[in-house]
Amino acid sequence: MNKLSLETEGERVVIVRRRFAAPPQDVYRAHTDPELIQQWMLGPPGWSMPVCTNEARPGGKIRYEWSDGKGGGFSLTGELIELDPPHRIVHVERMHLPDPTPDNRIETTFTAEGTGTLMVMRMNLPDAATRKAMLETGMEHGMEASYARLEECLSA
Amino acid sequence: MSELAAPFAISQPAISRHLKVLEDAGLILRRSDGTRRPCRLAPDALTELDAYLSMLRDALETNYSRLDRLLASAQLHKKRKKKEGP
Repeated sequence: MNKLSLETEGERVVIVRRRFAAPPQDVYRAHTDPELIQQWMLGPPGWSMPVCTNEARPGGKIRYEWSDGKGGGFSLTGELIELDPPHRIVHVERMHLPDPTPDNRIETTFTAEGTGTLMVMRMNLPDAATRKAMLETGMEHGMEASYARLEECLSA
Repeated sequence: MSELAAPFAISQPAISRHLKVLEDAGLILRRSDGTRRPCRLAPDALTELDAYLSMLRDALETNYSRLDRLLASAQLHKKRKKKEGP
C-alpha cells in the first residue's frame, strides 16, 4: 500500500506517487515544519541535516544543508510559491553541487484516501548534464556499492 | 546458474530464460566457460537516465520510510495537541 511509484511524462517531467498511513494535515506538516523535515529528508543512512529552513508562506525561503558526517555534503535552496494547507504546495528549488542546478518547479498535492493520504509530486526531469552532475555526487554515496553487489551476483 | 537460482524460489530453467532475455536486450554479456556461463553487466547498458531514476527512487524510498516512522510516532500527535492548546 505504501509502494513508491515513479514515472516520467514525456522527456521533461517526473511524477512521484506515495501513500502514507496518516491524514493529509500530518503529511503536509511533515513537509513544511523544519523540525519535522530535519528528521526524515536525510538521504542515505549516516547523513544529517544541520541546516533546515522552511518559511511556509508564499515567497518564503527554503534552505537545506546536508552533511555526510565525513566533511562532505551539499545544499539546496528554494522559494515557496503557493501553499494551500493541507492540500497543495508549489515551490521552486535548486541543488548546489556546489554549482547550482537549473531551477526545478515542484507541485506536491496531498489527497485524503480513507484514513491515509495519497501524495503526488510533479517535478522537472533534469537535463542530461544535471543528471550527470547529480549521479556523480550520488555515486560516492552508496550507488556504486549497490552496482558492485549486483555485478557480483550476476558473475556467479 | 545454480548460484543464481539458489537464493530465490525459482527454478534453474526459469533463471535461464530470464538471463536469455537480459542477454538479448544487451544488458548482460555471457561467455562460455565449459559448462559454466559467467555473465556480467554490459558496460553502459543502463542508460544514465535509468541510473538517475534509480538513484532518485532509492533516495525517495529511504526518506519516505523514515517519514512513515515519524508519522506513526507519538511526536506528531504531541505537536498537534500543543498547537490546539487549552
